[in-house]
Amino acid sequence: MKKIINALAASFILMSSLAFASTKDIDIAVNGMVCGFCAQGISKKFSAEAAVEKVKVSLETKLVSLHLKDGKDLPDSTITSILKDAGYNVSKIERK
Amino acid sequence: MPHLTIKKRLGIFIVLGAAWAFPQLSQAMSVSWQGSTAVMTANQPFLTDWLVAYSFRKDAAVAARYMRMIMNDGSEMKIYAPQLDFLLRRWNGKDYQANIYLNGALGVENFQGQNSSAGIGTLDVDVESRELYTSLKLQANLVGAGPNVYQTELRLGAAPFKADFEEIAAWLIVSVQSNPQLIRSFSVTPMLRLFYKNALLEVGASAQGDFALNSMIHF
Repeated sequence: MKKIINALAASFILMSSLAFASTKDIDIAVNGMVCGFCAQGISKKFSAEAAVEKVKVSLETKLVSLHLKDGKDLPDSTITSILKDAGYNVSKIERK
Repeated sequence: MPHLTIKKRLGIFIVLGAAWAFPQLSQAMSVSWQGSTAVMTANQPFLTDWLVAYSFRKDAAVAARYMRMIMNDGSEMKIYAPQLDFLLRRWNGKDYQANIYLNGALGVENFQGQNSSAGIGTLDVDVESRELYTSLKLQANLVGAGPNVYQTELRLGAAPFKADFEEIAAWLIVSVQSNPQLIRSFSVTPMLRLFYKNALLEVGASAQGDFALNSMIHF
């Protein structure tokens, strides 16, 4: 029984890891993003990241949507740092 | 600075000193993301103000500025100056952004055929959402030859619709300017502002018939 539980736990951890690694889309809610200049700067900053394939900025939803390249990841700390350096605040990061 | 009085030199020193002292806290519309360049022009018959700025930090930029002003007596004053721009403070809300900018410049003035030193100090405060915009600018141009020029501009704006990043945004702006030393000492100018991605254009005319043509681009 103990072996089965351990095997299930290991499978769960493995599947979770695979799920995280395969996350390709990230939605970031940003505070202070009210005009085209804001959006332009944020778009340029994320486009310069090697892991990012596509950036979409919406002033309406206040979301920056990232599509990552295959096998690449962008940690939350990096995302927060990029937006802070661009002069904005992150209110939420959601991985799909 | 051979043509500046001690009082004027002190004024310039305070403006530049304050700008240097608070780099962590400062910015102006010329200050944008690190590595960006901003080109800004403001053109009226009595006032021309051009600026090219490079943001070497997210809250600081180095700029080159040119100003041309028509004085009360019809004479012309020109200022050419390197400038430092700082973002003093920014507030990012869910639906708004507010900024305080401080700029200081020290350069050369040309007035009635005479060259002299000149200093410019500007404090700029703005609050904007996607529908409303307001800003207040206080500027002192301290010059060695001719009168010092003090300028105040209040701007109020509203967008008739909310445009997204990849759409053209339209704004109705009213600019109220007080320039006691210039030939147009008080001016109210309604303008149409068009904004697309990284480019902005403002076109308007005052009740006195003075045109206004302003532009800004960040890249």
